[in-house]
Amino acid sequence: MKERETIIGVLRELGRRLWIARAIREAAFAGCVVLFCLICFQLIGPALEAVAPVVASTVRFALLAAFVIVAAEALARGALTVTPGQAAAEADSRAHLKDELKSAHWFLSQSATSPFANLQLRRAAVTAIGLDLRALAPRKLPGNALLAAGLALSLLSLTWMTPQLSRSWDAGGDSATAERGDPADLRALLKDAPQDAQVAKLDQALRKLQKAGASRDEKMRALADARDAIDQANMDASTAREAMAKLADALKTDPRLESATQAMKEGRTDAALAQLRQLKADDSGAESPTAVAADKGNAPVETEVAAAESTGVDSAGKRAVLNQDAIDRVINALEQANEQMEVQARVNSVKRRMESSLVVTSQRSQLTASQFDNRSNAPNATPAPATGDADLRGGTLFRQAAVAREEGDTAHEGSQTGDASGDSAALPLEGAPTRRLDAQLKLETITQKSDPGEQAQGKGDEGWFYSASREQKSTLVAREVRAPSGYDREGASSYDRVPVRQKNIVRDYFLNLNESENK
Amino acid sequence: MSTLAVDREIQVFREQFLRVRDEISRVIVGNEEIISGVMTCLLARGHVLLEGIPGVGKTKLVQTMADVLHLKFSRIQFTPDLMPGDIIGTNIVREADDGRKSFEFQQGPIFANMVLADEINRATPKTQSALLEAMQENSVSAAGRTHALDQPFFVLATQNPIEMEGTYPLPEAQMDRFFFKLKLDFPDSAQLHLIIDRTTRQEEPAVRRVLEQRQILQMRDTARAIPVARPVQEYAIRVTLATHPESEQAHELTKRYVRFGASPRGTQALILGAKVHALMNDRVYVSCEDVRAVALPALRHRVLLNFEAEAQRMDADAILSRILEWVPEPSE
Repeated sequence: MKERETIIGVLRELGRRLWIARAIREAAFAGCVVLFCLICFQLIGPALEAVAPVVASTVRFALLAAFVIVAAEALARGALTVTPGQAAAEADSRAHLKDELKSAHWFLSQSATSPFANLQLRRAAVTAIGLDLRALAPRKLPGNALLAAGLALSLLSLTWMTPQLSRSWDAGGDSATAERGDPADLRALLKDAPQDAQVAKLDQALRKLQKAGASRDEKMRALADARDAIDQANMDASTAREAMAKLADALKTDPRLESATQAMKEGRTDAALAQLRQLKADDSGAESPTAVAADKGNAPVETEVAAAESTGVDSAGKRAVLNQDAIDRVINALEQANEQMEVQARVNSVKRRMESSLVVTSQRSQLTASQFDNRSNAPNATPAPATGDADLRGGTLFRQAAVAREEGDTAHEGSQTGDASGDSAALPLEGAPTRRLDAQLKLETITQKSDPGEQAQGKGDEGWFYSASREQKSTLVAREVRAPSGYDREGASSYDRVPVRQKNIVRDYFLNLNESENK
Repeated sequence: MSTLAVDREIQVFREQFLRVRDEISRVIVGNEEIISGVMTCLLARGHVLLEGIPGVGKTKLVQTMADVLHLKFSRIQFTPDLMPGDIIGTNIVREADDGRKSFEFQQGPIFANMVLADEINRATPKTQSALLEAMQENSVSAAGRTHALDQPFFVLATQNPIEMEGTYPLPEAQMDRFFFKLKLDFPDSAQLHLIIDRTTRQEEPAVRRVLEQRQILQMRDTARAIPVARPVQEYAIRVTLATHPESEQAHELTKRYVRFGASPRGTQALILGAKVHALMNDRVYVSCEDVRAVALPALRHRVLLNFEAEAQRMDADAILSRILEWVPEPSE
């Protein structure tokens, strides 16, 4: 039948267009969901991994599962083809055909025909031919596709802003914190560093971090080693600086070394070394009048300082001068100190790089200073703001809970009100302002009349007690005035003389009565 | 029958329907929907219950309709002392010329094509139930014999919703037998002007008969022949089930305010009324819109509300309107 072919053909074409549009819409929706989750994880992921790595890995697995589910759902929806019946219903809805094509499709699916059904099919065929399928199912991107594109752009920009995050994703998404920085880059910073035990230790730790198949525990241990090496290198460098300052003090007795000692004090080891080498070259021809005894060997800077302090000053208190051998040892000591500082600079550059990659490189206790003190059970000398009670056990904790403290607020570290180490300005108190007791109570003096023969005690005829102040009295009176207005409301009744408050009770009673009668 | 003949039949149906409506509108001011509803009941082989305050033209509408249609018309004024025999008829003793006596059935006023049961709620339930068999079976039984009623048989009952003292509200079973329940609203200012103009002059507008009995029967057959697609039928069933509080497809308001939902007769009324509505709109198929168009008059008297609904002044029309907005059309 011609009408049948026409209607079915149009419905199939419409169904195909609708299916494509739906597949695009579903894919865009799935994309929106996935991208939104990714963006959220990009935003909160680093903080989550720093605080709770286990939770972060759980969230990552949950996200992966959600992606799989969303993708499967999108595929399942997209795989469902649009039947001619659905296409007919959609066409009726979009073109306001009042179920014409839906009815025609139903009549076509039934073998029984009637003159009325045939007429309907003929009319429906004419309507179907006149349908503009492009207008009914336009091939355009749905709104959520644009949203998905926007989210994708946001994700890209977010990933670009935090490249290490994307690297961690690319590397397989291990939850270890140590993977945040790229160990290969960090090791490159140590390539030309002076030979030092801490540098070797740090390099070893970074190598472990770089190792592909390393477990999470191994990486955590390597990270701890790296921290130790950095801390130790910093400590060595500090010691070297201190020793250099002492050496400078010891050498300042030699007038020739005045500028060199000044450079040493200022930490300009290169300048000091250059001057000392120049001095050594100048003195190579002539021996100094006073020789300074010194131990042989490659002694550390502290030893040189001790030697200089002990031998650099003569018994008469005159300024001593260094001999050639001593100058050599001072130069050696300075070179060692220079190396230490170079090591410090290298490891600190590694540390900065790791910190910028969100790897915590210093140990920090989660406990506050107040938790180390012994005042939690001691009476608090500071009176509580509400009651004025000074003998308050655990006052420290009370004060600590009463201040506004922001999450991760390290600017006021150790300055919490009531903390053992708190020596800076207190943070503002939270909560409603406390009214002074003298605003609520008033001390009144009353005169006691005593009997003629009675002996007065204490203050004699006077006694005192606290009564409500004027402000407190007015507050209480206002409360009493407000109360009766509520009673008026409860006593009010509507036109049916049922109090408003009891209206629901009366209605429930009749409803239950009615229901029980029905039973 | 060829499609051209069917097309012509539909055109005739529509023209005749509109001609009747226009002719009645010469006397009855406004109320086009009521006139269409009454005509729909007539063509769907149903009966109609007209409800409205006194003086809005209930009886006048029926009288005018009887004049426009070339049908036998009778009017029964229902009163508390009206007996079933007064409606159906009684056997009387008739004496022949030869002196032999025999019983002869004297037909009551129900033996007509159009029966106006005026103020039906004033008669006793016993008398009201006398209409039951006639309305459902199109026949009456008297003295052990069944008498078929002439077709078309069409009962138009009126009742006053506010004057309830001394009345006998129609039982649910009898209400269910009415195809539609139509509510006549009070006319607005412009319509009142027209009513005054038409009824206070020397001569009142007269109507002419535009439809014969044969044509009405033909229109009835045409209406029944309209095919209904299963999705549309499914929609009508969903609407019906949404009025049943115990149904899974019940609406939230239904569960709260409805005691009993619409009967299967309600679904029949939905489909048959929708068929006439579709024909009136020059369509040879029924759409969900047709179902929606007739849902209120077809279901409002079949939905029984509970006490809470009455306490909250919630009526069936409000609930049905929400149901019609809520029930989705079948997608396939």
